Amino acid sequence: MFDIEHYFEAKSVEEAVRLLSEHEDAEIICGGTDVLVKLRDGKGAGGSLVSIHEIPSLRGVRVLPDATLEIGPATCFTDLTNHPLIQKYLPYLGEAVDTVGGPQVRNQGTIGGNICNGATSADSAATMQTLNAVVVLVGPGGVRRVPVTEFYTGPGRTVRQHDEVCRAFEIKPEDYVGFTGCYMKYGKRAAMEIATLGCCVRVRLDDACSRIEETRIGYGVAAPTPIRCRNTEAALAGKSVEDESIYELIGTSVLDEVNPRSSWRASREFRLQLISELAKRALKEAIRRSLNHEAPGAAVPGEERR
Amino acid sequence: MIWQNNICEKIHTQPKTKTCVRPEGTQEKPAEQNARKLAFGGAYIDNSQNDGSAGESVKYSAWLDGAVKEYDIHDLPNGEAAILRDTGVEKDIIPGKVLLSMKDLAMNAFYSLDRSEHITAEVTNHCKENTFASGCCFVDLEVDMPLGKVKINNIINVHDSGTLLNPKLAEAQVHGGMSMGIGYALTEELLYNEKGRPLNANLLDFKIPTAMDCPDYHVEFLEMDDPMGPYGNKALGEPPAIPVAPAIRNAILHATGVSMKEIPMTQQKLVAAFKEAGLI
Repeated sequence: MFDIEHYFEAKSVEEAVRLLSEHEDAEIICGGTDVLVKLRDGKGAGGSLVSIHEIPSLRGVRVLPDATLEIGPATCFTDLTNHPLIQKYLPYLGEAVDTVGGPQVRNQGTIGGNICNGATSADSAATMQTLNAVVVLVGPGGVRRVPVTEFYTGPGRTVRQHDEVCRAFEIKPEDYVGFTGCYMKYGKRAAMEIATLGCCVRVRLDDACSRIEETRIGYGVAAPTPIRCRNTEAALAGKSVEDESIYELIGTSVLDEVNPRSSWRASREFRLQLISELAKRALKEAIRRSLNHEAPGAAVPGEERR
Repeated sequence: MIWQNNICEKIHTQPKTKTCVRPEGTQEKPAEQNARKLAFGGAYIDNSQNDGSAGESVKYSAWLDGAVKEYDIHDLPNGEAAILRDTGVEKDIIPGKVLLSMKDLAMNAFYSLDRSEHITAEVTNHCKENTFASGCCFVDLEVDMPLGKVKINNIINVHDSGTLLNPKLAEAQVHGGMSMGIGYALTEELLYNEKGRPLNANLLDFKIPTAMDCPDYHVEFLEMDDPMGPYGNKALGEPPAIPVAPAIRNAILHATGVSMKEIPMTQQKLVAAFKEAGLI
């Protein structure tokens, strides 16, 4: 069924890096929900696979000493959304990965694959953009850290080199403490769906919960890569949450920062309508959650083990 | 009804009235006689009218009703399929005797190592004067105009398919039709590029509604007996799929005032129509 030359089971990140360096035709596989589908279609046939599926350090979510959240890239979507740290500090990320395919795919597919695949339609991508997640890459030359906002270079392309393995995603406290968020996936049906559009809006309100201190807006499928809308984010800073004009503002302003394409799946015009409408709704819901005091504080190192 | 098997040649059915198995005016050859006898022999073997019990093969016998009654069967001394033997003589006719169950005969015929054959039967009913089956669909839905999303809150199909033979199966048949009708109305379409190559020939991009897209299906029947149909029955194959898309289309019209003129009424087409109507 699958035309694979060699299959290597790496036991550590270093071993995976070495195997990739030694085999130029080798591709990383973890959950296989993208790789095997491609292989079955004959793309990359005859190549080799380096599995990182059995490397325990790549799974789970941890709190680092400076309250940074570290997400293991081999964590499957189901484990991610059920993880207590995600539920407490990044519920909107759980919400995002809950929309991937169906239950079987979510048991198998991983967040690392979702990001490193480079797809603009990846359901975790918009949320990771708003989190300023840092991609930790390990290669033969050592470790480098790339913000996910600079990770994508085009459709299906990223800055990750062939022999680099994603070791973790880091989310700093300033990117999650005090924030609430909402991810909205738009598809033609409620499950087993590729996003026609994905939109994540996150807000941090002031202590009195009356003004917006910071907004983060991320999109999938609104451009060839996942994007942020920084001008609109800046325009919303300081606005009152009571001010109904913020919804009109976000709905109009984002249109200047996106570049969706027409395809047989959806027209540019239709996507622009969705971009505008979803931003309004996601902002409204994010603010509602903040007013409902759902914004988390800083995580404490080791709390996931308690 | 086609069945030729050496096992059954040994059963030796014998027509009481030859006109019922032979086209009029033709001369029956011995080989043909055997073949036709076989065809009816199997049916007769578990004719439960004879022993008064109602076994699982009663329906099968009932299918062959008429033909079965025309035949007698030669006795089989040991009464088992595996050791059926040719008595070969007319004098041993015992009318109406059950030789072995249809199940045993079928098992023997199917699993025989050297003469394995399937027992098949076909019955057709050419009904030229029955009444039309009829049905309708009512749907209650919500339209999210800025996103072009249609949410079906409640849906019911009501059908007159005459006397139902299997009400549970009939209901399930309607569920299937309603599901098809929803996809037909809202999402399912085959798209082609300019060279005629299908763009969405897979189950990700050809949008069949998932369980999460479908509401609970409600079904009611009006069982109006049709004396011309088989067992008072009328059609229920296609009818469940027919009224759903028009009902959804008309409900969208009722909700928004926008009359859609093509299906599927996709989100993109709905948004375009709502924009044209100045609703968003």
